[in-house]
Amino acid sequence: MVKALKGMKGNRLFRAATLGCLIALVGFFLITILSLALYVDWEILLSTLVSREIFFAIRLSLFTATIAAGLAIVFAIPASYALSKTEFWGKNVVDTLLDIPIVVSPVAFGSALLIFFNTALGTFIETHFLRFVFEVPGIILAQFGVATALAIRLMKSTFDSIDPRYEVVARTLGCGVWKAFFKVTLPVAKNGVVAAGILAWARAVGEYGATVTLAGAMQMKTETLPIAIYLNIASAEVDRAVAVTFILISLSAVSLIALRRMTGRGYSL
Amino acid sequence: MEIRGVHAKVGEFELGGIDLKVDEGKYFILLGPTGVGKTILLETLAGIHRVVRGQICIDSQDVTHLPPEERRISYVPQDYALFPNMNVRENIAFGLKMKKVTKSQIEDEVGKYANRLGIAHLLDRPPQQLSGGEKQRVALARALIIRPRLLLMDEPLAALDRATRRDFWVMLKEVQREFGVTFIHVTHDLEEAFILGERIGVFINGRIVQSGRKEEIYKRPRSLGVARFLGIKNIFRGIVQDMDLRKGVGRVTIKGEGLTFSFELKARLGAGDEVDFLIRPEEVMVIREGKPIKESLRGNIFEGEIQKIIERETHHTLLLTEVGQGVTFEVDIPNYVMRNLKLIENQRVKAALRRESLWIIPGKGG
Repeated sequence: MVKALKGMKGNRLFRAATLGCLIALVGFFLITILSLALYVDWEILLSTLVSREIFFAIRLSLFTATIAAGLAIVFAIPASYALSKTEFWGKNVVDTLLDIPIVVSPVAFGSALLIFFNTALGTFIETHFLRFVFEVPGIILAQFGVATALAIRLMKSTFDSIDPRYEVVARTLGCGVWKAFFKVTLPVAKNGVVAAGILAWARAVGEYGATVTLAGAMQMKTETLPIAIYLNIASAEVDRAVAVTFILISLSAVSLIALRRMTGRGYSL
Repeated sequence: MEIRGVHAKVGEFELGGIDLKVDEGKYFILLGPTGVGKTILLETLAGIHRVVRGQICIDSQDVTHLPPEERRISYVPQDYALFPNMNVRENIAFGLKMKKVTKSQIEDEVGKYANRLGIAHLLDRPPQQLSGGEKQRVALARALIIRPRLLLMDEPLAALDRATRRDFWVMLKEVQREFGVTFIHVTHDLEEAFILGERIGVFINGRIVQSGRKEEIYKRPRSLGVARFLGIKNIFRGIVQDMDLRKGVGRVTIKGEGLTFSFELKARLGAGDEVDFLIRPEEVMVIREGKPIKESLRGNIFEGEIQKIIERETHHTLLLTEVGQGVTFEVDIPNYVMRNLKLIENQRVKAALRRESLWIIPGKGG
């Protein structure tokens, strides 16, 4: 056995093993997508697209995901910069805390949010500022939580890779800290920021677990595309569920293509 | 520029009590091994790291607590840090843009500096397409265009090949004189330091251990650490035998070997003192047979056997073992002398050393 792993034979075996796994995985995903494409009844797809309910779900998904991704970027740029460039006590703890929404099940994250809005502070916010539970702002908050964690991760590695001396030199040439950041660091980080924005948006569009827990699955009220799939499957409207799935996959594909186009290969997921 | 007792702490690294004075318009070299905090010292001067104690003055203005943007100190880091989102023209113009200089004036100035540094043909290129030498010129133009009071350069030639480095030695010196800017140039390269520096500061373990004219550093290192860093080969531990204060001559014996040399008295020493002393390899002369020996050489003559001859670019190095006590010296002989003397390995020769060429390292050594 050990002998077979050495020499030319070993090389071929290694290549076959790695490529074999790759082919198996590609096959798995292709079969899944192909079966969906074969199942889709194009007439139903078109009628679904123009139906009031699905049109509402598309609009709500695009609206909430865009706001959630926008907010995620606005918060993640300074936060990830601080995480990358500043040394402070407890940095490791903060770093780990920010990863929680990525690794924890979205349903658990949504439950935690739901429980928070049952606390005194949560109730105060709900009554005096904005209602989140079973409302559209709840969708945005759930999507924001999940998307921000992803955006921070991506942007921190971008800021880590930027030579800190750009800012040092910019400052010796007459820039204050703000100007050095906006004139040099941020433009250099542009590709990373765009990539983080697109991926955060795609993640927000696809978000289901946290959304359904916090905002509920209410037809024509908190019905985003993933919730529409769930509602249609639950009511045995399989054709409609397939059509919505098709739309959702198309949106993801468009995001990935945009990512490659706008940032080159460096920022593929 | 003057630094008085500057302490700075960056992460785990501590700069301890730095004192340094660099006269206006001079080319100063900060020489030291890599990884001892030279970059941190430059960045502290530039205002990036907070000074815990001490004072930094430029043109008698205290800049210790001024932010970098108000110091008028330019910085060229080792990797040049050309902004990758701007082309060469925008990189050079950056400092003037921040000062809100008019567009036409910026264009004139960029043209002037680009012409002087020979990069006018590169103005529209992105930095990613430049060679190491071109990047260096762009970084220099960007740093000089704001007319700084002080220019800091961190190992500016480390990434360049030898031929390009030689061109830069000449260019840097010319540019420095032309613009009259005070340069502080950090390097670990001895050759570069001695060619460029008017004055040299030797920086070891977060401190400037010796600073002075280059001949002084080279011939009279103040400590064993400096001598070792300068790569001086023949360093010995010795015991002072006696001194003739009237003639200004002393004698020192290599500890445990019994070989005695006379030296010129410069420091206060007493008989029986233990000292470190050094003999520079190029100061030892091999005496041609039958040639009369000068008076100044008579005190330090010994016979040795050539163990090995190593051929180098400009000279030959002989490993010469003294016949009586078996002490081995490195001796550097210029190539033309080598050709005249026709020396071979295992040959016995007489070697001599001037009294003033033996340098007793002051202090207790170590």
